[in-house]
Amino acid sequence: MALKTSKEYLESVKKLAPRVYCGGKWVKGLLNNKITRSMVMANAAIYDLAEDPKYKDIMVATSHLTGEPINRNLNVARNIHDLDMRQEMALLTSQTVGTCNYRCVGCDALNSLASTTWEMDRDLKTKYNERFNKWLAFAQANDLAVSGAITDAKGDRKKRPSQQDEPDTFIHLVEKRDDGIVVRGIKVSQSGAIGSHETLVLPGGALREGEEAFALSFAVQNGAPGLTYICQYNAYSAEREACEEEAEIGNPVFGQRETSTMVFDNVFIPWERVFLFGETKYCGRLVSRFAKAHRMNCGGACKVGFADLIIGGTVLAAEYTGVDKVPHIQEKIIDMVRLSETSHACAIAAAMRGREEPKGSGVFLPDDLFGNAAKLNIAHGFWEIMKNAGDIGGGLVVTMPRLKDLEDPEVGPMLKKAFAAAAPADKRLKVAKFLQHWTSGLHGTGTWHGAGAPQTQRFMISVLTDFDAKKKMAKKLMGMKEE
Amino acid sequence: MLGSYRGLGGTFASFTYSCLDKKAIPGFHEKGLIAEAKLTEGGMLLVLSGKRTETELREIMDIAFENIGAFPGIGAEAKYIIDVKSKE
Repeated sequence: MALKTSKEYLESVKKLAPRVYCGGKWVKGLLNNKITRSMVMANAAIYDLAEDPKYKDIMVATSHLTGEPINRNLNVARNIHDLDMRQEMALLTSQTVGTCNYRCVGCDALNSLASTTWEMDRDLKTKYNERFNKWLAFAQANDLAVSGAITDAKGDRKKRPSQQDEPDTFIHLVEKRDDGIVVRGIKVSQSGAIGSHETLVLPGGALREGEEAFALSFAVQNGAPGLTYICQYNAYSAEREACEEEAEIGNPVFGQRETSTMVFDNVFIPWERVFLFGETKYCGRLVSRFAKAHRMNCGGACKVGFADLIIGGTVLAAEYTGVDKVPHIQEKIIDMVRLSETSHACAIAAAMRGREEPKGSGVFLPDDLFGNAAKLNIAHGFWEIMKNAGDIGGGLVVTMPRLKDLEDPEVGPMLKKAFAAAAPADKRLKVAKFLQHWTSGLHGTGTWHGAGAPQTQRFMISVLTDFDAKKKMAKKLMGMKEE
Repeated sequence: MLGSYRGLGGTFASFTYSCLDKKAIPGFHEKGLIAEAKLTEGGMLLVLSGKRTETELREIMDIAFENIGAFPGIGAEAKYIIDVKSKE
């Protein structure tokens, strides 16, 4: 089996029993809990897309290891076309589920591992790439949902990992055994591991000599004993738990982005799943290659898919209110499109200017400058897009009554009278609720920090930009002599 | 009980670590499920607490292996044999 159907994925989830804590209780059955189910249903929808002939080019790739068709979420990009389809997948999945493709971080992590393990084997004569490819072939053959965990809890930011009072703020080695390693520590803001089969764990950043115990990368089975997931919990979580019908929620089936804090309490990882062990020198490039891929996909495509949904909702809101022909409304909507498409253009450029890295590895990674520009642009642009959606959607976006109250025999008629405009009240309220989900929820800060906070993109852009060349060309045009 | 599962190399090591060191079966979080666990020549003996039918034992192992990344599979000669029994 190279491609799982959504039904097969859901069947496999019924057997998955990771130790998940959500909103004050332990989850017994991911599909029985309203919050965890939304995450699982989003993953199922991603499996569905790969079954749809219309999206085959985007969602299905050919394994370079076996020649078999595989889900693109498990593909290592081998050329420009792969990179382009990868970013198109990020766009399509976001447009489809309006939340994370929870296999996205895993996909970018495995591309970084394919590149970096190859490089380590070349330089150090290790066998990491061979080991990684065996794991990848296994994941591809079983079409596993693989998520990624990157961000450590980090503790006191002034201190290095080994200086922390609490060593568990970073994933670290506890024991080296003949058959594997035992690790402990905490990863935070992890998207979708709860409903995935495996998670790829990468170091959270560059490490120095002496920090070997923290230089670890591995794949962990999500049901491994010792691993606990503590889910995020917020007003939208409470709303989902409290609602009588999911239709009342802004994104009814797939919900908000579901993340968890992953606590590793002496978790065993067999050597076959360990892809970096103590090689501090390679941690920085492993993470930066992940970021390179993820900034193109998360920044320049995923969030553009979200923006498409917000723009769609905003245009509907304008039509339903009867202001869609008003010039300043139209101008604001065009601004929303400009902001999102600029990021998408950067993602396409990042793919088109991608290149093999390192040379000889066969692994293609996007152009770093365009990828960082995509992410930085959308980080700022998304707030503008949300602002315009709130502006055009009106105060109703945050002052609306409960959708279900429209059905109440006493207040329903009052609400229908109050909120009918160029469209009936139920349509206006439905779209207001949709825009509430986007503008008053998690997405602003999520987009800001996802794939790294903007300051990291500014740093990368400053490193990647040849300012001397720009100064030189300016001087030449001015007729200013070189000193 | 009979059943074949296939997983990536190291899956058996993950399973034995869970049972022997963590005293836990993957996918099951209640304490005391394992009455006895020990390595044997070419495999492992696992005795589960309580009285369980063969069907129940099979269901438990299905879940345990799925959670550790092994799936039902036939064809190859078994590399490890796990003898699963009910205590009563």
